[in-house]
Amino acid sequence: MAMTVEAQFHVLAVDDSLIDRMLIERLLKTSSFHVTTVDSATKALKFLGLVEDELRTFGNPVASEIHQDVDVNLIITDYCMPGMTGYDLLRKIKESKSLKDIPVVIMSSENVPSRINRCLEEGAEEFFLKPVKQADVNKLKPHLMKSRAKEEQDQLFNNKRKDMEEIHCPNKTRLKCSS
Amino acid sequence: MDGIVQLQRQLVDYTASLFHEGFLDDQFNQLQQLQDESNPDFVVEVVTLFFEDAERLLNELTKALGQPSIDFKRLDTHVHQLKGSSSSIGAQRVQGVCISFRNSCEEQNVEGCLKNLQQVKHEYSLVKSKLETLFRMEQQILAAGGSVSSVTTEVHHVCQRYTRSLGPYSLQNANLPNKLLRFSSTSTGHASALRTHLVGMVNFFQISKMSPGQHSKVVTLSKQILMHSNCMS
Repeated sequence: MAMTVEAQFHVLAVDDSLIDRMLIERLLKTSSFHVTTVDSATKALKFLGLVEDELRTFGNPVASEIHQDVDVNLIITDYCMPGMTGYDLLRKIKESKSLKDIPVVIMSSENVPSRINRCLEEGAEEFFLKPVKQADVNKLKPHLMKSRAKEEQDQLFNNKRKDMEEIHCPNKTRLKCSS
Repeated sequence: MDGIVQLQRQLVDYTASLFHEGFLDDQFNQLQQLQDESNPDFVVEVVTLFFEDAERLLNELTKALGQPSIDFKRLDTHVHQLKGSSSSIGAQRVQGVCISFRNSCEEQNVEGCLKNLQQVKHEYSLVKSKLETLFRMEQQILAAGGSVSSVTTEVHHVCQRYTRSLGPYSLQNANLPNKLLRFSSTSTGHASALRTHLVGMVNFFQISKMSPGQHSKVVTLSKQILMHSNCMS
């Protein structure tokens, strides 16, 4: 498997304010990120391939996971949004098998320590106070490099395991034909 | 060529004065830093969005306060939005009034809200005209064949000077008041220069990001320093 040029990191930015979306997009692009912006948590979930199941089983809405061919390396979301908040979005992502390893960053205009702690406890990597600055965005690369390194390690491990399986359990269809 | 240089000089001074008087804070400087050849109109675009957003919100606020029974929650939502967008472009004074406005909403104080609405409309119209003047001056320079990026760089240095005066202290740091005191006591030069610089620093540095405790500390301290420097002068 040849290592080609490293793909750009893809960041999904979620904010209901148009001005803030413009700002965060510009900030992220100056750091050479590929950026997608959406104006609500619901749209973010849709983009990520996670759709809220309307059927409430035992009172809890189940999020069914559609095959996701969208590759997002980091999600940065505003906390205060109408409808689903950034915190709710964070929780949904961390509950999802396919998305839980994507680093999530929360932004908020309000400096509320309990809010910050709650988000970090729920698994947010960072909490940025708005307005977000270049210095904040510069903190993102390490998280992304870490995720990418882990992904590559997992992939290497999975490839090794596949190779091992091939050795011990040769092609099953061949066996079927022979019987 | 001389004409362009003079225009550029005027623009630097004008922008610096807006920082100094607290109309704009460091966030505006951040916006200018994000503008480059590939995004030459970024600042104008964002600020124009702010104007549209603010005007819409001010209309909503006026309507909401004109209702026979006032929905304070709705009012607060609009003020919160205005606070957010003004903070995002660095319109510090507008942001400051929004903070008081939110307090009035929380207290369900109608009188207070009406007063705050008047104040925010006033501050908004001031910063709007200042920014429009600033953009006009930029256009003049560009029309004369000059560059604005050198102006932006110089403005950035002005901001850096303010930032350096306060050192590595962020506004979240409770030592800020002490730092200000230390600065004033070691500072040489005329008392009025100190006064101006101090007021400039305090205004420039996004006061609205401080906690109420810190804010009152800094205000008290600034008053003490100013009184002290008054005695000295």
